[in-house]
Amino acid sequence: MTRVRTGSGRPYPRRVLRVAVGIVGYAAVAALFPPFTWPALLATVLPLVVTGGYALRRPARPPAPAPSWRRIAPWAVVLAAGIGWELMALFRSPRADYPTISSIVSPLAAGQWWFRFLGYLLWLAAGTALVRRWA
Amino acid sequence: MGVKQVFLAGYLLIGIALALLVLLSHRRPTAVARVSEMADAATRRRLGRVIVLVVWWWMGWHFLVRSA
Repeated sequence: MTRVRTGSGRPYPRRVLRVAVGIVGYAAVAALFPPFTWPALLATVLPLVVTGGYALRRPARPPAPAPSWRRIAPWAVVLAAGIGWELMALFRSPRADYPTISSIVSPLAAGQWWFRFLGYLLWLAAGTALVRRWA
Repeated sequence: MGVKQVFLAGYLLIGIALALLVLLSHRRPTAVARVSEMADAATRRRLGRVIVLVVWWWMGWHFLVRSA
Protein backbone atom coordinates (compact mmCIF):
# COMPACT_ATOMS: atom_id res chain seq x y z
CA MET A 1 0.00 0.00 0.00
CA THR A 2 1.50 3.36 -1.00
CA ARG A 3 1.83 5.71 1.91
CA VAL A 4 2.25 9.47 1.88
CA ARG A 5 4.35 11.14 4.59
CA THR A 6 2.58 14.07 6.25
CA GLY A 7 4.34 17.02 7.90
CA SER A 8 4.41 15.14 11.22
CA GLY A 9 6.04 12.18 9.50
CA ARG A 10 3.00 9.96 10.10
CA PRO A 11 2.21 7.91 7.03
CA TYR A 12 -1.32 7.76 5.65
CA PRO A 13 -2.46 5.50 2.87
CA ARG A 14 -3.15 7.34 -0.35
CA ARG A 15 -6.65 5.87 -0.27
CA VAL A 16 -7.44 7.71 2.98
CA LEU A 17 -6.24 10.98 1.50
CA ARG A 18 -8.25 10.41 -1.68
CA VAL A 19 -11.42 9.70 0.34
CA ALA A 20 -10.84 12.75 2.55
CA VAL A 21 -10.30 15.03 -0.44
CA GLY A 22 -13.33 13.52 -2.13
CA ILE A 23 -15.53 14.17 0.88
CA VAL A 24 -14.37 17.76 1.24
CA GLY A 25 -14.86 18.40 -2.47
CA TYR A 26 -18.28 16.76 -2.53
CA ALA A 27 -19.40 18.73 0.55
CA ALA A 28 -18.20 21.99 -1.00
CA VAL A 29 -20.18 21.39 -4.20
CA ALA A 30 -23.28 20.00 -2.47
CA ALA A 31 -23.38 23.01 -0.15
CA LEU A 32 -23.78 25.26 -3.20
CA PHE A 33 -27.25 23.87 -3.83
CA PRO A 34 -30.02 25.70 -1.97
CA PRO A 35 -32.43 23.59 0.09
CA PHE A 36 -35.68 22.38 -1.46
CA THR A 37 -34.06 21.97 -4.88
CA TRP A 38 -33.54 18.84 -7.01
CA PRO A 39 -29.73 19.18 -7.00
CA ALA A 40 -29.77 19.33 -3.19
CA LEU A 41 -31.89 16.19 -3.06
CA LEU A 42 -29.64 14.38 -5.53
CA ALA A 43 -26.62 15.43 -3.45
CA THR A 44 -27.99 13.29 -0.60
CA VAL A 45 -29.29 10.46 -2.79
CA LEU A 46 -25.96 9.73 -4.45
CA PRO A 47 -24.12 8.92 -1.17
CA LEU A 48 -27.15 6.85 -0.14
CA VAL A 49 -26.81 4.73 -3.28
CA VAL A 50 -23.08 4.23 -2.68
CA THR A 51 -23.46 3.33 1.00
CA GLY A 52 -26.52 1.22 0.23
CA GLY A 53 -24.40 -1.08 -1.87
CA TYR A 54 -22.16 -1.76 1.11
CA ALA A 55 -25.10 -2.17 3.48
CA LEU A 56 -26.77 -4.83 1.37
CA ARG A 57 -23.81 -7.11 0.99
CA ARG A 58 -22.23 -9.30 3.67
CA PRO A 59 -19.57 -7.38 5.68
CA ALA A 60 -15.98 -8.39 5.09
CA ARG A 61 -15.33 -8.83 8.83
CA PRO A 62 -17.31 -10.88 11.35
CA PRO A 63 -19.32 -8.75 13.79
CA ALA A 64 -17.72 -7.87 17.11
CA PRO A 65 -19.48 -8.91 20.36
CA ALA A 66 -22.31 -6.53 21.29
CA PRO A 67 -21.69 -4.26 24.32
CA SER A 68 -23.63 -5.00 27.50
CA TRP A 69 -26.82 -3.13 28.32
CA ARG A 70 -25.09 -1.68 31.37
CA ARG A 71 -22.57 0.07 29.11
CA ILE A 72 -25.26 1.23 26.69
CA ALA A 73 -27.53 2.56 29.47
CA PRO A 74 -25.86 6.00 29.83
CA TRP A 75 -26.40 6.64 26.11
CA ALA A 76 -30.01 5.49 26.35
CA VAL A 77 -30.67 7.88 29.23
CA VAL A 78 -29.17 10.92 27.49
CA LEU A 79 -30.81 10.13 24.14
CA ALA A 80 -34.18 9.60 25.82
CA ALA A 81 -33.78 12.95 27.56
CA GLY A 82 -32.92 14.60 24.23
CA ILE A 83 -35.88 13.05 22.44
CA GLY A 84 -38.20 13.98 25.28
CA TRP A 85 -36.93 17.56 25.27
CA GLU A 86 -37.43 17.84 21.51
CA LEU A 87 -40.93 16.36 21.72
CA MET A 88 -41.85 18.80 24.48
CA ALA A 89 -40.90 21.66 22.17
CA LEU A 90 -42.50 20.07 19.11
CA PHE A 91 -45.97 19.85 20.67
CA ARG A 92 -45.95 23.40 22.00
CA SER A 93 -46.29 26.76 20.28
CA PRO A 94 -45.31 29.34 19.24
CA ARG A 95 -42.16 27.88 17.70
CA ALA A 96 -40.24 31.06 18.56
CA ASP A 97 -40.68 30.29 22.25
CA TYR A 98 -40.40 26.49 21.93
CA PRO A 99 -37.58 25.88 19.46
CA THR A 100 -36.95 22.45 18.00
CA ILE A 101 -33.57 21.40 16.61
CA SER A 102 -34.96 21.85 13.09
CA SER A 103 -36.15 25.38 13.80
CA ILE A 104 -32.71 26.26 15.17
CA VAL A 105 -30.76 24.67 12.31
CA SER A 106 -33.03 25.49 9.35
CA PRO A 107 -32.37 29.23 9.01
CA LEU A 108 -28.61 28.61 9.08
CA ALA A 109 -28.81 25.71 6.63
CA ALA A 110 -31.08 27.67 4.30
CA GLY A 111 -28.96 30.80 4.11
CA GLN A 112 -25.33 29.98 4.93
CA TRP A 113 -23.06 28.01 2.57
CA TRP A 114 -20.48 27.43 5.30
CA PHE A 115 -23.11 25.82 7.57
CA ARG A 116 -24.30 23.50 4.82
CA PHE A 117 -20.66 22.68 4.00
CA LEU A 118 -19.95 21.71 7.62
CA GLY A 119 -23.21 19.79 7.74
CA TYR A 120 -22.37 17.81 4.59
CA LEU A 121 -18.84 17.21 5.88
CA LEU A 122 -20.11 15.73 9.14
CA TRP A 123 -22.83 13.76 7.38
CA LEU A 124 -20.47 12.31 4.78
CA ALA A 125 -17.85 11.56 7.44
CA ALA A 126 -20.48 9.62 9.42
CA GLY A 127 -21.48 7.72 6.28
CA THR A 128 -17.85 6.93 5.49
CA ALA A 129 -17.31 5.67 9.05
CA LEU A 130 -20.28 3.34 8.61
CA VAL A 131 -19.11 2.02 5.25
CA ARG A 132 -15.60 1.38 6.59
CA ARG A 133 -17.06 -1.02 9.11
CA TRP A 134 -18.93 -2.93 6.40
CA ALA A 135 -16.39 -2.91 3.59
CA MET B 1 -34.72 33.71 31.66
CA GLY B 2 -37.46 33.20 29.07
CA VAL B 3 -38.95 29.92 27.89
CA LYS B 4 -36.86 30.00 24.70
CA GLN B 5 -33.65 30.35 26.69
CA VAL B 6 -34.66 27.41 28.92
CA PHE B 7 -35.17 25.19 25.91
CA LEU B 8 -31.92 26.30 24.29
CA ALA B 9 -30.08 25.64 27.56
CA GLY B 10 -31.64 22.18 27.64
CA TYR B 11 -30.34 21.38 24.15
CA LEU B 12 -26.91 22.66 25.13
CA LEU B 13 -26.85 20.46 28.24
CA ILE B 14 -27.81 17.40 26.21
CA GLY B 15 -25.08 18.18 23.69
CA ILE B 16 -22.53 18.51 26.49
CA ALA B 17 -23.75 15.24 28.03
CA LEU B 18 -23.28 13.46 24.69
CA ALA B 19 -19.77 14.90 24.31
CA LEU B 20 -18.92 13.75 27.85
CA LEU B 21 -20.17 10.27 27.05
CA VAL B 22 -17.92 10.12 23.98
CA LEU B 23 -14.99 11.16 26.15
CA LEU B 24 -15.88 8.67 28.90
CA SER B 25 -16.29 5.86 26.39
CA HIS B 26 -12.63 6.27 25.45
CA ARG B 27 -11.32 6.91 28.97
CA ARG B 28 -13.39 4.24 30.69
CA PRO B 29 -14.48 1.75 28.05
CA THR B 30 -15.64 -0.76 30.68
CA ALA B 31 -18.23 1.73 31.94
CA VAL B 32 -19.55 3.29 28.71
CA ALA B 33 -19.80 1.68 25.29
CA ARG B 34 -18.11 3.39 22.36
CA VAL B 35 -20.22 4.70 19.50
CA SER B 36 -18.40 2.30 17.16
CA GLU B 37 -19.37 -0.69 19.34
CA MET B 38 -23.02 0.32 19.33
CA ALA B 39 -22.90 0.92 15.58
CA ASP B 40 -21.42 -2.56 15.10
CA ALA B 41 -24.11 -4.11 17.28
CA ALA B 42 -26.90 -2.28 15.47
CA THR B 43 -25.57 -3.27 12.05
CA ARG B 44 -24.81 -6.95 12.65
CA ARG B 45 -27.65 -7.96 10.36
CA ARG B 46 -28.61 -6.61 6.96
CA LEU B 47 -31.90 -5.17 8.28
CA GLY B 48 -30.00 -3.27 10.96
CA ARG B 49 -27.61 -1.88 8.36
CA VAL B 50 -30.50 -0.76 6.17
CA ILE B 51 -32.30 0.91 9.10
CA VAL B 52 -29.14 2.70 10.24
CA LEU B 53 -28.50 3.83 6.69
CA VAL B 54 -32.01 5.17 6.24
CA VAL B 55 -31.75 7.06 9.53
CA TRP B 56 -28.38 8.44 8.45
CA TRP B 57 -29.77 9.55 5.08
CA TRP B 58 -32.87 11.06 6.67
CA MET B 59 -30.69 13.18 9.00
CA GLY B 60 -28.84 14.62 6.01
CA TRP B 61 -32.02 15.15 4.00
CA HIS B 62 -33.95 16.70 6.88
CA PHE B 63 -31.31 19.22 7.95
CA LEU B 64 -29.59 19.98 4.65
CA VAL B 65 -32.22 19.60 1.93
CA ARG B 66 -35.50 20.26 3.69
CA SER B 67 -34.38 23.47 5.45
CA ALA B 68 -36.35 26.65 4.91
